[in-house]
Amino acid sequence: MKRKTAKGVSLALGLALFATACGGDDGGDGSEGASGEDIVIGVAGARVGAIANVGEGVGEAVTDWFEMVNANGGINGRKVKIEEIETKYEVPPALEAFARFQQSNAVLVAVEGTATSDALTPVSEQSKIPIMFPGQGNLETVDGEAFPYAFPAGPLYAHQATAMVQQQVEELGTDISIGCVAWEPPPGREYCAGVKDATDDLGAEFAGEVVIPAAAADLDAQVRDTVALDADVVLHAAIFGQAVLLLKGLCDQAPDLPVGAWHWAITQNEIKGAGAECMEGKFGTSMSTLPSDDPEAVQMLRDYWEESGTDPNPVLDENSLYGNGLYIAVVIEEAIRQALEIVGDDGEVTGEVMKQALESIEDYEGYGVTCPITITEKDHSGNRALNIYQIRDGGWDRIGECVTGPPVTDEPDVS
Amino acid sequence: MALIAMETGRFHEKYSEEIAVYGTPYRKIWILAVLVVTFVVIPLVASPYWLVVLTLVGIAAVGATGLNVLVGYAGQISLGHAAFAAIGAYTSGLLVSRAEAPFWVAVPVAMVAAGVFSLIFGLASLRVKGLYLAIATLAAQYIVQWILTSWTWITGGFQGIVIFEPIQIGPFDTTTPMGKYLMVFISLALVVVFVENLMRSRSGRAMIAVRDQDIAAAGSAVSPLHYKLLAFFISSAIAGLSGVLYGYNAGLVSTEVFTLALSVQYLAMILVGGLGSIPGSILGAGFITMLPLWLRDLLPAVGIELSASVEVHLLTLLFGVAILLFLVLEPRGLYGLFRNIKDYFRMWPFSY
Repeated sequence: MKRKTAKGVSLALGLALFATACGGDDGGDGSEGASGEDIVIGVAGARVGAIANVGEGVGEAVTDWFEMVNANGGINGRKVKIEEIETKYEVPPALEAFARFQQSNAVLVAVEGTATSDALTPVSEQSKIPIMFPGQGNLETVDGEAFPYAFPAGPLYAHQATAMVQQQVEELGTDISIGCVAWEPPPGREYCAGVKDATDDLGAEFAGEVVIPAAAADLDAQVRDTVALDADVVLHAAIFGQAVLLLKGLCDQAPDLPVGAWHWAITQNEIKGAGAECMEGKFGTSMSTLPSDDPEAVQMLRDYWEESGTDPNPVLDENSLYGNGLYIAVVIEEAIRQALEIVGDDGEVTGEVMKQALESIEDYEGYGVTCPITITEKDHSGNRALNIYQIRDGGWDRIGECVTGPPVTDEPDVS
Repeated sequence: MALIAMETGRFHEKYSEEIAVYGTPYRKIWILAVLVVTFVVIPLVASPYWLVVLTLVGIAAVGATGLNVLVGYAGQISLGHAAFAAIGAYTSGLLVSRAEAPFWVAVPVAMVAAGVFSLIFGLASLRVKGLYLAIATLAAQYIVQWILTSWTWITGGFQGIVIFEPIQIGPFDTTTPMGKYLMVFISLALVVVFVENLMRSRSGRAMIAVRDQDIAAAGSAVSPLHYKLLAFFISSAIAGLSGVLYGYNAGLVSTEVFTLALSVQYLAMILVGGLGSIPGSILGAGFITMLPLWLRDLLPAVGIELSASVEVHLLTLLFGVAILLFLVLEPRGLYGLFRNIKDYFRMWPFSY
C-alpha cells in the first residue's frame, strides 16, 4: 500500500515537473516587443488574498478593455496581449510573475498592491521594464528621478486623504475637527498622516488617530476609541471586512457621525456588509469616474458587448473598483499609443520606450475615466485629483469632481 | 555476466562511523553530483526565469532549514520566524544603507541580532510547550510588525522601505539573476554544512534528546534551557539570513513582506518536506514555492482554458488539496517519500 502511494505521488510530481518544463519557456529574456508583433502587458494580479476585491475589479476591467481594443483592430493596428499572473498579494509570487513577464517580452507591468509594487520597484529598474500601480503604492515613487521605472500614474493614499479633507473644509468650513481611523499597514498609516497634514494646512483641527491592527477580527475597542475622539467628521482607511465591522460599529454607536473613506471602502462590499441604511450618506474618494456614472469608456464597452453579442461582464456593475481597472487600462492604452508615435506603428516597443511614452502623457482624460493626467520625467504621479462620491439610495452620487487637496508634507518635490 | 551488488543494510561498528559525514561511498558521489548540478549545470543551462524561481526556492530553503533546527531537531514550535527574518533583513539593510557598513560585516551582525531577539521568546519555551509556545512566538510576529510600522524613525516611514545596495565584486553582481542565484545557493550550501555538522555534534544530539524527552535529558546532565535557547538562537539567526537574502534578491524590504503568512509557509515547508531532515527542508521549500507554478502551467498544458477569475480560485483550491493529500498519504514528508523509493531500489529484488 505504502509503495503504491509512493509511486502514485512520484508519478504526479513527475508529471507536474514535466508539464512545467514544457510550458511557456519561449526563450525570451528581455523587454522587447518585437517589430509588428503583439505588445505584451503583464498584470501582476491579486484576485486571491488580502485585496481580492481590488484584484477582481482591476483584472476584469483590464482584460475586457483590451479585448475590445483588439477586436476593434488594436492600437494603430498593433494588438495588445494581456498576460495576468496571480500573486495573491505576496511578494515571492510577484517576483516570479515579473520574471515570467520578462520572459514573455512584456514591455509594461501593471501591479496591484503596495507591498508588491514596492517589491518590484528595484527589479523593474534592473530590467528596464516600467511598472505602474495607480491608486496604491509608496509616496516616494512619485519622484521619477529617484525611481525611474516606477509609475504611480495617479493619486496616492495621502492624496486621497488631503482631497477628502479639502472637500470637507469647503463644505463645512474650517471650524471642524476631523478624526482618522488607520488600517495598521503602511497605506492606512500614510492615509491618516495625509489627513493630519491637510487639517493642519487648511486650518481645521485634527482630532486624533485610531489604529486598527492588520489582522483584527473584532473592532469594538477601535469603534469606541473613534467615537471618543469626538470629531465632527471621521475619515477611515480600513479595508473590506474590517471596513464593514468599523462602519457597522459606528452606525450603532454614533449613527449621526459623518464618515468618509478611501477608495477601497466605498464599494458594494460595504453596502452589502454594513447595510444600505448604515451606508446612506457615507462618502469616499475614487481616482476614477465610477462605472455607475457611465463615462465614455463604459459606454464604449457596453456598445462593444452589444455589437459583438458578448454578455456584459457582471463585475462592471457588481464591483465599483472595476472603475480603477478602467483607469489603469486607458492609461496603458495611451502609453502604447505614445510609444507607437515614438517608434512608428511597426516599430519595436521596449520597456525603455514605454517609460518614455508614459512620461509623454499630457492632459489625458482617458475616455472620461480619469482626472487630467500629465506625467513627466520628474513627476510620475501626474494626477493628484480625486472624485468624491456619497452613497445615496444605495448608489453613488458624485459630490466632488477632480478635487485636489493641499500638498502632502512628505511628498518629494517634483515641481 | 556482471553481478550487480546491492547494499542491503548499514552496520556501524565504531562511533566514528556513526557520525561520519560520508556514511557510504555513494554519499560522497551524491553530494558531489548535487554540487556540480547546483553550481555548474544549472548556471549554464537555466534561463533567467528559472534562475529567479530557483533563487526564491533557495531563500525559502534557508528559512525552512533554520526552522527545522528548532522544530524538527529541538522539538520547539515557532510561529514567529518571519519576524526573525525581518529583524535580520532590517538590521542588515539599515547597517549598509545608514551606517555604510560593508555587507560582510552587516550580514553576520544581522544574523546575531535575529538570534538574540529570538532568545526573548526562547525563554518562554522553558515554561510552555506546544500550542502555548506557538502563541508565545506569535507575539514576536506582532511585536515586530508593530515596531516596523510604528517606529518610523528606524524604518524611515510607514512603508519602512530599506534599499539594499547590490553586491558587486568583479563579475559577481547581485542585480543579475545569476548573481542572485549564486549568492542564495552559496548561502544555502553553507547553512546546510553548518546544520549537518551541528547535528553530528554534542549540541545537536542534546537538542534531539531534549526534543524526545526533556526530563530524561535533564537527568542526563543535558540542560533543556541551554539547548532550547541554543536552538532558538541558531534557528533564528538562519531565519535572519533568509531575510537578508530576501532583501538582496528583491533589492529592498518593506514592512508588508514579513507577515504571519510567511511564518506559516515556513512551517508548511518543513511539514511537507519532512521534520528533522535537511533535505526535507529543501524539498519542502521547493514544493511549496513551485507547486502553484506547476498547477498554473499544468492546466493549459492539459488543454484546460479557464477565465482568470475561475482559474485563480481553482488553483488555490488545488494547492490546498494537494498539500492535504500529501500530508495524509505521506506524513513523513517528501524526504520520507524519497527514502521509501530509495529503499525500494536498494533492496530490490527483495524489497517487501
